[in-house]
Amino acid sequence: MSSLELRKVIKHYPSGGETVRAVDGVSLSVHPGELVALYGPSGSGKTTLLELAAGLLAPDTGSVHFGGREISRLPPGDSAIYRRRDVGLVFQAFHLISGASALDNAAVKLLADGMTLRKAREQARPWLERVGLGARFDHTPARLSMGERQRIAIARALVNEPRLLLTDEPTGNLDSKRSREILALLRDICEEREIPGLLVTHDPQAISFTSRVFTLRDGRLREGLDAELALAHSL
Amino acid sequence: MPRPTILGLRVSALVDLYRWRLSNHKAQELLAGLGIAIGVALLFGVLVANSSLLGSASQLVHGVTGRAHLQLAARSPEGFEQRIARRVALLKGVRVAAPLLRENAVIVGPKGRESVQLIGVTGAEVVLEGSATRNLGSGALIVAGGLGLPSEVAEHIGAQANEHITLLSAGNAHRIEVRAVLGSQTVGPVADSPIVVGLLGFAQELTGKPRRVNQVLVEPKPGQQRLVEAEMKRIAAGRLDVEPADRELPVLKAAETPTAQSTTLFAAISAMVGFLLALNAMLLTVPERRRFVAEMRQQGFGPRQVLAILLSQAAMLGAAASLVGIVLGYLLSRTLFHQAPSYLTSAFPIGTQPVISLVTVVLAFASGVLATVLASMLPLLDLRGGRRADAVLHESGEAGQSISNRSVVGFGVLGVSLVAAVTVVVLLEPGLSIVGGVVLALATFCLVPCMFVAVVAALRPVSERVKGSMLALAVVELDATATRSVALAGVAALALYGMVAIQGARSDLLSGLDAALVQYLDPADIWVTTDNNFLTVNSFHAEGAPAAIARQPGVASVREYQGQLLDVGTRRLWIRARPPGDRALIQASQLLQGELAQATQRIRRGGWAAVSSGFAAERRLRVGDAFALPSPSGAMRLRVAAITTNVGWAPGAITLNDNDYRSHFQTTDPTALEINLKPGVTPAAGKAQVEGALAGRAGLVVETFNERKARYEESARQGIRSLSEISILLLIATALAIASALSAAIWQRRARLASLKSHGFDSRQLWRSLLIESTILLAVGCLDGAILGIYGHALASRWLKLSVGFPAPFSLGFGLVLLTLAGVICVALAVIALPGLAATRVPPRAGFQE
Amino acid sequence: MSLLSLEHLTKRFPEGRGHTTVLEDLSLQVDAGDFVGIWGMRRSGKTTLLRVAAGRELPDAGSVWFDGHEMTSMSPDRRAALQRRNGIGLLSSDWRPERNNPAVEHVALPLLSDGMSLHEARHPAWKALERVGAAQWAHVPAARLSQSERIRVALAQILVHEPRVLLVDEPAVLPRPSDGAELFDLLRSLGGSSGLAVVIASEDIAPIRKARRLMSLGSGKLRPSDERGTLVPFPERTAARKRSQP
Repeated sequence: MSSLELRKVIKHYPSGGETVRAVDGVSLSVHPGELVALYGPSGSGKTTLLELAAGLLAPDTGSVHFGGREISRLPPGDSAIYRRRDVGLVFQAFHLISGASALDNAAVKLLADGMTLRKAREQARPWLERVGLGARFDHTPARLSMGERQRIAIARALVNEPRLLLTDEPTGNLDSKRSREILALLRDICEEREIPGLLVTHDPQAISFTSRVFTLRDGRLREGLDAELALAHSL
Repeated sequence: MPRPTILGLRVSALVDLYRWRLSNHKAQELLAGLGIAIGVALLFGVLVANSSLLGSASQLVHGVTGRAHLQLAARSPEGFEQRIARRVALLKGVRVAAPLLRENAVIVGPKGRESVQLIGVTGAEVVLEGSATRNLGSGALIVAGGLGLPSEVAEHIGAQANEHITLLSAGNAHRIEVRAVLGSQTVGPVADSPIVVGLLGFAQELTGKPRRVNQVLVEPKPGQQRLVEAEMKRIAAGRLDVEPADRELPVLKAAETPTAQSTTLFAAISAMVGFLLALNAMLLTVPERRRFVAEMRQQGFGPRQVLAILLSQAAMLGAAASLVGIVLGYLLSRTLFHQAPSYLTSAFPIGTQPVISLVTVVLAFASGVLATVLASMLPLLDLRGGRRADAVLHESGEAGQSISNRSVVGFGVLGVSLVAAVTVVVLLEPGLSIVGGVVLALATFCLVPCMFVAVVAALRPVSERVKGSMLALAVVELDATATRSVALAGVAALALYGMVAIQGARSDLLSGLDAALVQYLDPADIWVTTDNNFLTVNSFHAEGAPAAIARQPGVASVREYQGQLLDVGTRRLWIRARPPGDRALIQASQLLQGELAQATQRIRRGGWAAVSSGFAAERRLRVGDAFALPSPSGAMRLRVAAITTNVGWAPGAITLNDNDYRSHFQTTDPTALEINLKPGVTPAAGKAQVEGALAGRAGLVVETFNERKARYEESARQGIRSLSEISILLLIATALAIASALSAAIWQRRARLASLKSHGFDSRQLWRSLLIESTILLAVGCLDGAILGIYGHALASRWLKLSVGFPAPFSLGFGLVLLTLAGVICVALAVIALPGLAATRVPPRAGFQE
Repeated sequence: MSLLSLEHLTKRFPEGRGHTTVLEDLSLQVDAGDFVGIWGMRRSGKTTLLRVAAGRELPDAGSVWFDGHEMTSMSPDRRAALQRRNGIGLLSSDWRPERNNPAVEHVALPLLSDGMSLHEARHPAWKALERVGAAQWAHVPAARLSQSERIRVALAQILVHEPRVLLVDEPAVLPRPSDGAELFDLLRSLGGSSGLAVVIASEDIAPIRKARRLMSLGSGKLRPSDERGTLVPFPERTAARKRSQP
């Protein structure tokens, strides 16, 4: 069983003439079987944090570890293999292939690991069913609602049976009933497969489905909701 | 002072807005401009090449004829007595009657040689005020005692005033002084024409035709033309032609019609390809232009103002690119297409300068601007009523719509119906084949989406089973085919179509001409002709030459061959009078109707001739029918022994017995000597002996069968060279344009590539996938183009055979087709590979923003 | 009558095979010099509300009145003309400037629609940049401006039209909270001096807490804050609230 661990991670971006501290000394451990929620206003560095965990970005200082391996310093090839074998990613901009079916969209990333498309489809099918798209295998994204598209993206994250789940606003486009279903699904996946999951969200409902809650503001991480957010949500 | 505004926008503001755009989107504008420029260049180059032949000939004809309306023209190279000119001049209604002697000749200077027409003039021509002669001074004294050379000709052979050059005429060489180099200020546009001017008497001396002329130009007094014409006919007495002064033009027009029609087909295809290139280039900028529209709307510009801005920007881009295109096209026409086919230059005085008319420039310019404006219309869809002003800024997903099944089927049905319609029409009326070729090009384009869907569907089952290859990803991505990809494949298809059809027809024509040639030259082992005598129509005084040659030990026989060009209606017929002793009189491969042995026997006996199909069709002649040819001795009556192809000369040819010719055309001067060698004598040895016998006749050329054949083949290839040059150019331009457009399209896909990378694809996998995708895309276009191109090739060859009478046996050059196909794909892929690689190096990010 | 008046607005968007209702029978009055803060979750309809109010988008039902004119029934050209002078400005966070052009040109550009030449437009553009405290970046190419600097240039681009209502969408995208506070102060000073009405919509409550009127948007409806200045929670969120309070 592997945990995700961020150790004193700092990531800065240049913006115009100045530097933005997107992530400013964050340490965080996510253990197998738990789904952790990360709140924070827009631009607070949540997505950057997620990209660091996925090996998409390297931190300026500090390190990211998964399963005892430091993934923040992997060469590009190994980093790709890490994402392809170990990580399930759901991003806000889901970049689906507009003319391809839901099934192909979910299956396509398995091709990176040398699987045939036919096999990949077989493997993707149960996941699409599980996110409630069993009746829409052949639909192209254009014919699906935003929520349904989001669910394709979630199915795509799960088809490689990941050992780490990273999701950015997975319920951002869903109504509250569908949101609860998806949140429950993500929680169940983490529990069943005993894998760590990190959930970046705005959705106050997510609190009820996660083990722990953190707030990121100005690049800094705090356990629990901060006062501003609590006020906004009237908590 | 009120400043000019359009819909409340200052004109200077429109320019400022375009500068604004340029400073931020140089690359896109450059790419779009390049596409448009290439299209315009192709169109302009073809148009100029097309109009130059006639334009140049027309300049010369009018430069010589000036105010003359009528002419009296000889029917044989022998010409007629100069005193006839004097009789014409004395007619009551005649203001000026100017005798002329025009003979083909070759001039040789320090830097080279050139085929020219020697024109002998008198003071009378000066009075006609043609641009070629009006500044020669009273009595044309400028050139007295020597020759006047147009500046272009003088420069080409390296001649200067008051220096000597050699003139080869009628088989003899003369050293002559250049009296004047005639620049354009003296002779106008004729400065570019291949002529030399001398006084009539001098010209008669040089050509060995004392007191003979072959043309009298006549300017009737006002209102007297009818009367004069009747009087001239009386003088002509059925032995000379009375014609409009500029009759040569319709004759030339008829002679170059097949060439002109095939270039027209090319111009049409070039225009289509050009438009598609422009469209593609503009399509690439659509997402970004749509954003621009939205932002302008956000900033308070009204819909009609945005329309004005977009149109003005397209017009500015189109205008700039079209100007560049016209300059490129001009360079093309000067470098690649500037040579007139030598079979035409030997029969007509045609200059080598591209003649550019205002119409051509305006047409090319307008097409370029129009194409750009049309292609930039897409973002205007966002201005439709009911659309959110800035909808595009809030759209999610990928740019580029996929094509609906309905349009695929619609296009397919349209394409198939076009092909069917062309087939039916062309079967019924072969003369419409050129139009058919253009329609077929349209059909080629319409069939692209269908082929595309079919190929992707065929690849899908394969791709599903292949492991580790990126074929599956490429196929999945292709499923999302955007309009742009189909448009790109369409460009490839059109270019391939044009290339395959034209090159195929060209190679058919060449093989037909080669076959005709071998049999034309076959009767003799050695040929003696005047220099640069492509159609063997320039006569020379044989004097003692045949006898001297016959005395050589290696020579078995010498025969005199005669030939000339005879204007009948608008046909400049190639008359070929073969000595009856030739072992073959008709080229067997060119026979269309009649029986070879019988026809040969009849021609040999006399009174019979083989005629070309075009001439036969015009007069509704069949084998055995009688017909008449105008000759200096009146109408010459002949019967049709056989009907042949046009043997490579578009207006047609007539082959008859030399004895018949001699008696009717009243000339004994041969245009060639045919020599057969004794068995065992090698051609080289024979040639040496003949050259020995001709010592001193510097104007005559001795060639073995093989040498002459090689010269002909080269001329034939040169004659249709511009066709292959245009097609190769088209292909290169297409490959590069496709490659750049595809590269730009790939570059725009970096966001998706980044997202695929975030799911674990690596750069090499994505690169492979992109290359596979591009290959499929191009292959579909090329395949479609090649298939229809082969069909177009078959139609073109049929047209050459049936409508023009050219020998063009259809043969499918699979090698050429495959080579072309592979060429386009390889060039395009090679160009795409780099930007593809760069694009796949995009860092794997999730929220990638353009 | 109010300067800007939204009356019974309903707005739906097609989604998949059906549609979602983003605004439902929503009304709002804004007077000259008003300062309104609207808080709403992501996808609660803030952006749509501001876009409809600015005339960028037409509602499916209801009407928008500005200064006594019904904007919803105007032709697009009239609406554009209204925007050009003393109308409604919308500052959105998705403004993406052209990279190579200096800030002053970005601000001058919209004035070309009013028949000015670029040369003439530079002067008012300069003034607008001064008003938002961005004159020192006037000649810096947009690519070299930071996010907060860009927002100010975008603001000047709107102020150059001298609008009477300023709608601000999502100032919360600023990278630093302090920038958000500065921008808020700037907007308040703009409003105070000239009678400009300002409406700010945000998903983060911090920047808009001090607005004269604070409202929350959810389920397509606007609700005013209660007397103590706290927002009334929406029913569907209550489950979450209960759980998180131990």
